[in-house]
Amino acid sequence: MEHVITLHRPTREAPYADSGAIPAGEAHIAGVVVYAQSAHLDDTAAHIRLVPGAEVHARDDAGKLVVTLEAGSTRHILDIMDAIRALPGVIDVVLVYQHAEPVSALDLEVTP
Amino acid sequence: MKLTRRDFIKQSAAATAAASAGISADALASNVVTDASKTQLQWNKAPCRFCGVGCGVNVGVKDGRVVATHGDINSQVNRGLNCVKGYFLSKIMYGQDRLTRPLLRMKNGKYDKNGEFTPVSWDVAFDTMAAQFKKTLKEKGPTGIGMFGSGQWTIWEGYAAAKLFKAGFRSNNIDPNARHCMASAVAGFMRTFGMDEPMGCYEDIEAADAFVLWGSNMAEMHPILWTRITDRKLSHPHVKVAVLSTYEHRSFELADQGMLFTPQTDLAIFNYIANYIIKNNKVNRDFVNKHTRFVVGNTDIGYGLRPDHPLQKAAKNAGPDAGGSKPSTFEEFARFVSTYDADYVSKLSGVPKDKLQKLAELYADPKVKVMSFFTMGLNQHTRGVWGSNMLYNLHLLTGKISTPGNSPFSLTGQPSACGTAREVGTFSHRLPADMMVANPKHREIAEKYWQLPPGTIPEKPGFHATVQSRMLKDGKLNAYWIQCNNNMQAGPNIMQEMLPGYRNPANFIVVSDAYPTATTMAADLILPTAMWVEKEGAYGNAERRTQFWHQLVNAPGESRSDLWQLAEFSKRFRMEEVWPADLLDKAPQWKGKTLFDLLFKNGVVNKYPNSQIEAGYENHESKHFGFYIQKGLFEEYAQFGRGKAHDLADFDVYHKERGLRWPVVNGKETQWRYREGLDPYVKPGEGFKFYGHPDGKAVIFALPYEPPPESPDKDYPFWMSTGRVLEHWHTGTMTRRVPELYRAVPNAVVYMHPDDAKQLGVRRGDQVEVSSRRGSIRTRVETRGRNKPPRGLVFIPFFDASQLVNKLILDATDPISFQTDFKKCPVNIKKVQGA
Repeated sequence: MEHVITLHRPTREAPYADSGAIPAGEAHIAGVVVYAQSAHLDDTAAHIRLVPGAEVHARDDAGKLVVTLEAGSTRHILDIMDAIRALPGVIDVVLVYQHAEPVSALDLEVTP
Repeated sequence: MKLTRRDFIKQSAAATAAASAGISADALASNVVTDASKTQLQWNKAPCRFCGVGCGVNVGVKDGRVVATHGDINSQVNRGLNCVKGYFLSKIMYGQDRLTRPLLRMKNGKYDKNGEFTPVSWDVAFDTMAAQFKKTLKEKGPTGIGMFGSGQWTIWEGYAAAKLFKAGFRSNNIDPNARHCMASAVAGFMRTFGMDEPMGCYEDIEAADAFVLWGSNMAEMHPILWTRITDRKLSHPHVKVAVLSTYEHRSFELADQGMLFTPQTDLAIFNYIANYIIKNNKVNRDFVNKHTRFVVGNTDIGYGLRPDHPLQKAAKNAGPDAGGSKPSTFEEFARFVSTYDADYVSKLSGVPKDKLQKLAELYADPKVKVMSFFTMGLNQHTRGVWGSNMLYNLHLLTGKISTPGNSPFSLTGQPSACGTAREVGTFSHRLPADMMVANPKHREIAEKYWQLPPGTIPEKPGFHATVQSRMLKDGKLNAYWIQCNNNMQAGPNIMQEMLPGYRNPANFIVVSDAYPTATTMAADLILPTAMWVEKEGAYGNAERRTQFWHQLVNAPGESRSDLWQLAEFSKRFRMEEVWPADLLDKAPQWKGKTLFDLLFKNGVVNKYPNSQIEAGYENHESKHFGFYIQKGLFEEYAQFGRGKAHDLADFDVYHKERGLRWPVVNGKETQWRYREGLDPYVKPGEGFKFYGHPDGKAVIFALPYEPPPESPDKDYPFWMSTGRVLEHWHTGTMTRRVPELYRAVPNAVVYMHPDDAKQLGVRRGDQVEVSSRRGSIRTRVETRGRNKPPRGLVFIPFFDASQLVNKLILDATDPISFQTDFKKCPVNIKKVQGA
């Protein structure tokens, strides 16, 4: 073949800005299960409550906590999960639920 | 108290997480009602888009956009859990550079191979494409056109494509990308059992006493199944895990028996274990006598290279005899494997003798139920078919098969490698339900269901994936359509054997995709595609489970599903333009009609009106064509398998169920095949029946160790293996659109042993040039990563479009399955000075 062939890379290839996927001012909510040694469960729950946007909703004394996280990006959520995983006595953090929407849509009032 | 949607969504998130952890909702601190009117989300089920495990997810839609997902607690596969890939599902559809209009290379207002991509209407796109296909059909006939499809096609997309080519165009030149990942497993099943796909299911995990991974990194690639294995092991301390690989990866963390072997010597290890079982009198004689027979397979079968390659010329049984065999006996088999003793195999493989013996004992001990998993390490192997035959030998010699916990299990990498590529028969040699184009009886059956005159389907298998690339380059395949894969990045020997064919001026290349890729860039026409829940779909996972989903959102811009594209394109061909007059004379009802009439408006596919679409769901294809096209295609397709041990349930059932495993007989799925009491096709008193073969017996193969086509030498002293990393599934087309994942592993690296790095005078992060006999790439050194190769071997992931690692790889294939070996390529590595 005479002519030189080059593969063009897509011009707008990654990295993509966070704002590309979902409009700026987004809120991320995750539902996770934290597996921890039962002896550390109180301490673990107390530590998690210190994290802005984190709530402990339920516990199983055998060693599980049901936690929700809220942050401004998925990245931040994953960082929080990593931080929880690094706490003493924590065995694993397993993600179950993920949600991302503009903050304004989440602020809408709903009558119970 | 003022409550916002946020409060309700958090309650939903907490309730869902609690349920998957087995914590009752009563335990939740506050008990807010979490109904849909409060969260304003519509929830629906769908299988995950990514791997072959087939996890169930719930998809939350608000205002026409997917905003949330969570693991489906009702899914028997993942039981509410999600892996990191599933977590990013909702973002996959919303990348910035989504393709939304057809793009044609144009100059001066018309198509030009050297033109720039220009937005055009669907009409211009299809008219240009049809003109090119017609020109080729006229000049070369049906063998001049071809299609390369996917294990990510939905069932009806694959079926429509196979039918368009085999029945409509009368060309068998259609093959799926599953050729690169599953073909050896398929051929292995067909040779040993006469029928494709695993006999067992995921519930084997909770019943097994030992797990053996042969060339599979489940911890990263199939994490949800790995979680189930971890649970089994942690709650039952007697359970053993053995992991065999050519480099150390994350699955080794759970392993009691981790073994690194020299590439290709897995073949010898299989025979060592068979020999051990026989020498230690652990053969299940009763099972072997009743349910198996022995053969000796042909040897010296070449490497699937071009016929003029010296290695092909030197091989005794290269070509059609590669898959041949001769009847044999147990005694001959015992003699055959007797040379594979501990001394020889340990020396060849590098695995210490005590480790080999411990591994063999797992198979030999009659009290240990063994589950063997294999994926790309065994499939992407120039003797991959042999490898799976030799693994089945071990399960058959001991009778450890088709019962809970005893299970040789082939894992898949794509969500419908089984359901679409294999079961529908989108391979160049296959028809639906394990039938073959070369078999006249099978063609007759297909012609009956497809309402074709006898002799319509060509008897010669078409070009398979690797040959398609060669034929494009050689100018013998001129009109080519690629859907739902990124072959220019995933295929082998790209610069020498692939790209020249795509850019060959004689050829017209069409690529359908949702995003720009290395393959769309090499195309002449790009068609924008609707993906996942932007269309109604069905996938079949690795345990024979068929799962459906509804269209939940609309695709952006002018994107349309692959199914819409196939059917709409078929309208542009009059029957007189594609079939010769004598064939059409045998079926005068199709005279003056179009391919669309033949394939879709045939009284079967268009039988179901749109009123049968479940209320509340969009369906962009059916709305366009005026009938429930997915249902019609599925029901026509299901006829092939019903009563033939491939039974599928009725269409509507699958929209309600979380999937069912075929054969589905009298409304009941089948978890374990070939076993009396568990499989409706085995009669009382038979015990086991491997009914894929007419004599009801599974085949034990005597096959040797044979060396790979290339091994390291003084010019190329390292082995190189390629594969995936968790965060970048497949070639990264979809997952690389997610910024968080992009940051996690921004560029491919070469994983190597610290001592090799030292010897090369390079440090972690240094730029190096990795070269083979075919080309070179630049990449950076990683000595600490999650993958830890032994000295003399390096590992490079294949997702990075800027480092097309596959251009280094020889296009050698397994001579029986024609699947490429991506796992062992000799390379040289040099530091890039001043970088």
